[in-house]
Amino acid sequence: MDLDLAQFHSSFFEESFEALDGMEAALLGLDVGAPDPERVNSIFRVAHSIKGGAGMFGFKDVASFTHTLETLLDELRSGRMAVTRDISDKLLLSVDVMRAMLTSVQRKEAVDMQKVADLQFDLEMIVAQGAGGAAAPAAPATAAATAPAAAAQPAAAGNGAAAASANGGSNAARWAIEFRALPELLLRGNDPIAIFSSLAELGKLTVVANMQAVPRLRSIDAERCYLTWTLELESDCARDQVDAAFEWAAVDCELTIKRVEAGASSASAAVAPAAVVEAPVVAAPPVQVAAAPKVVEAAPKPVEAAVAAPAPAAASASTAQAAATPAAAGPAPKPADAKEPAKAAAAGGEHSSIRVSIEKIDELINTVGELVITQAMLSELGRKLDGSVAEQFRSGLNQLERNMRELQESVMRVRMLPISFTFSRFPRMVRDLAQRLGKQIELKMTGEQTELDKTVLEKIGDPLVHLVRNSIDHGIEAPDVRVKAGKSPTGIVHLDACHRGGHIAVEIRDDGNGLDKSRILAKARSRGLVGQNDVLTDEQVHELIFMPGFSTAEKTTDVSGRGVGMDVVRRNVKELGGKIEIASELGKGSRFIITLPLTLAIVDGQSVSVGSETYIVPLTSIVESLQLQPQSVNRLSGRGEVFSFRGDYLPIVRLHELFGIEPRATALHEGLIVVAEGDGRRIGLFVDELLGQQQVVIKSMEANYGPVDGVAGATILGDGSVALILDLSGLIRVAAGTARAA
Amino acid sequence: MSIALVLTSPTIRTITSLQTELAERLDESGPLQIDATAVDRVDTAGLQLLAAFVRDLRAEARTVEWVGCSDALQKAAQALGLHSALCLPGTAAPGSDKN
Repeated sequence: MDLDLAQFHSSFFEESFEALDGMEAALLGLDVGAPDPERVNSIFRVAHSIKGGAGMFGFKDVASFTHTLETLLDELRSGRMAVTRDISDKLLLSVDVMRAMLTSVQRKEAVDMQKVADLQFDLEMIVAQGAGGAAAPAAPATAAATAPAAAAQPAAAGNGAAAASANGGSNAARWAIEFRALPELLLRGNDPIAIFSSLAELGKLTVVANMQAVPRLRSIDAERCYLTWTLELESDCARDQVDAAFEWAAVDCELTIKRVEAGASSASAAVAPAAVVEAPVVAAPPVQVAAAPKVVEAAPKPVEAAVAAPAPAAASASTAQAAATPAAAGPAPKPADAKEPAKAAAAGGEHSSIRVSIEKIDELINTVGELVITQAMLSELGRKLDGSVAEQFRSGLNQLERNMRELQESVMRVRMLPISFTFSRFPRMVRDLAQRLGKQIELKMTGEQTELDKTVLEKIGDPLVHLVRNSIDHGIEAPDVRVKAGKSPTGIVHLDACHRGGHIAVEIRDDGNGLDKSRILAKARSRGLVGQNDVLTDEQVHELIFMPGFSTAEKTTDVSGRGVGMDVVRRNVKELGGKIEIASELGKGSRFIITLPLTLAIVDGQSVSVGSETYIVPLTSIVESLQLQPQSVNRLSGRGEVFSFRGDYLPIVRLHELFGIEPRATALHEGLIVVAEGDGRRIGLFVDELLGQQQVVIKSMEANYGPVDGVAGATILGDGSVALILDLSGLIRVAAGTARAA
Repeated sequence: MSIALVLTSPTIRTITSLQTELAERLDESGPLQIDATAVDRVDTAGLQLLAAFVRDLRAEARTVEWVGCSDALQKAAQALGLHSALCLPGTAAPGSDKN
């Protein structure tokens, strides 16, 4: 059985992490004063679903913790306890703890149980305290009875005895169980017959089946389970014994288990519908059933009567989601109920999609890349053909080229994801950071649906985090400072993303103090980066902050200001083929604009020839191309050949020497110099001539040969030959090394 | 007099053919006899289908008579609380049949 289950682990982890993100987002958006019931419910569902999966896979610690969490959330969603700021904070902490736990389990490492145990204890205390006081419209006896019982029952410990005595139970207590199968239950090998049989061993079991959702025979999907059951178990057993009977099926059902006070009116044990475990189509409205068993016949009428009777009592204990109009009994609850599950399903994020492994997509993209190359070769050949058939052939090839381009774009889009995946971490981060620094920050995010390549998305996260931290730490002033400056005490940090002409532009804007040019200049001067009498344009001053080790922060907080940030940010952005620009006004605020290419698999390049070889220089690296006059070249000891460019001396890199090729010309003025930059440094590449500009598909060096310094990848040109794509940063490093050796 | 419907193992494995057979029976008219003496294996999928079948029959005012019912079927039906829905003969579980 273990072998079988392990294959589902990775799915479980993936889905759980995603679900936790959703939970965090819902918590952050929760208005403590007037919490949206649907939000609270969705948070409950997350805990419920993780608990179920954890139980199924035997992740006991996770299951136990989420069980406690679920208990608290159940109290919140049913309105028996109110959402407070403290609870909201603890729930956010729970997200962190669960993430850490799941990560540890996923990596098969030991879980840090101290944190888990502490938080779990806090949560249990909250539930225990809350059960006594909170606004409880429900029949108080039931609420008081169930809440401490629930609180005292972490899944691991069998506290049945304690709970029983808390109830002052003289008779055997009863368990009221609502069991609704989700469609996959039977297919997954779970059979209620076995479950109920094992329950029956614990005491006296009464089972009532509800066939309401079972369609007419011909319409039945025979492998699905449409039945729901209400069970009553008279037993002194502990809660976890009851849980154990349902362990395997937990993920495939909606389950509510409530302890009924011996002798209490069973009508008041009416049950709120359990949360949706997965977000499937909910076939039947949640059934509110009295625990006192009534015959549920195939004919609908008796069922309705059963529903109607306890409705008034039930309504008071029901959640907002299942809120039947409290006064109305009878048919009224049904339509309302039918609407709610649909809403829940919608809110649960139902959309049609499937998970695909990244390897499959990369394979697909690779194959399409090959197709593009083949098509280019065919077009090249087509140009050389003669005759009337050749004409038709060429026209066919043009059509092919158009189709290929469409195919390529479609496939690239497969790897594209909305930037909201990266943006989503910011609300939490901004909230925590603002709290820590004592600042008031409002975070605005727009353009979250803007899509970019998955790899770019992953790598842009850290630079963005740094920039946002900068804004909050250095940009936005403390509230009193802001007020004195005539600003609102709450600073605004605005994250925006949009498509701009074949690129993505991501902007971080704040209405803080802006970059103080005089301070930056002073710092740069004191570091000797700028001469005392040099005059710099605004742009050039802004550029200074990208220098390694530069920071004008008065004191470095542990947040930012260590001075390692901005140069790394720029380097990361450059590595993605993008660039970063700054606009700022003192007293008003700053804007950091990052421009990124849509995808990493294609590069816009300038082809150059060196001897018989062709090389591709990425357009984003090129500054200018020029022809040198012989007299503009100097030779400096220790630096080789240099030439003057815009007031600077740049080294010349003879590509033919670097790559060992026989060039067409060796005299510098007979070839061309392509001024290119990488890593903030500029060099002049000496080439024979410029060929065209084109989009090329990058083929990986590592995958096909091995990493080569100075070479970013290779591509296959239309004539079938291979051209190496240059990586400027690497090239500069290599060239510097060779120059020193010379 | 129609031929009795003979059940052998109404489980999820044979569910599709069972569904076909039951659907054909629905097209007939008159009382129906079901012989379940040979049932050794049964599961929820099977019982669900049978329960739907019996319900649909009764909706057409047809009668169902179980001419034989194995222990396995009785026990399973009781475990699921479908004893009365199936109109099975014999002692029902306490509290589940107040008809």
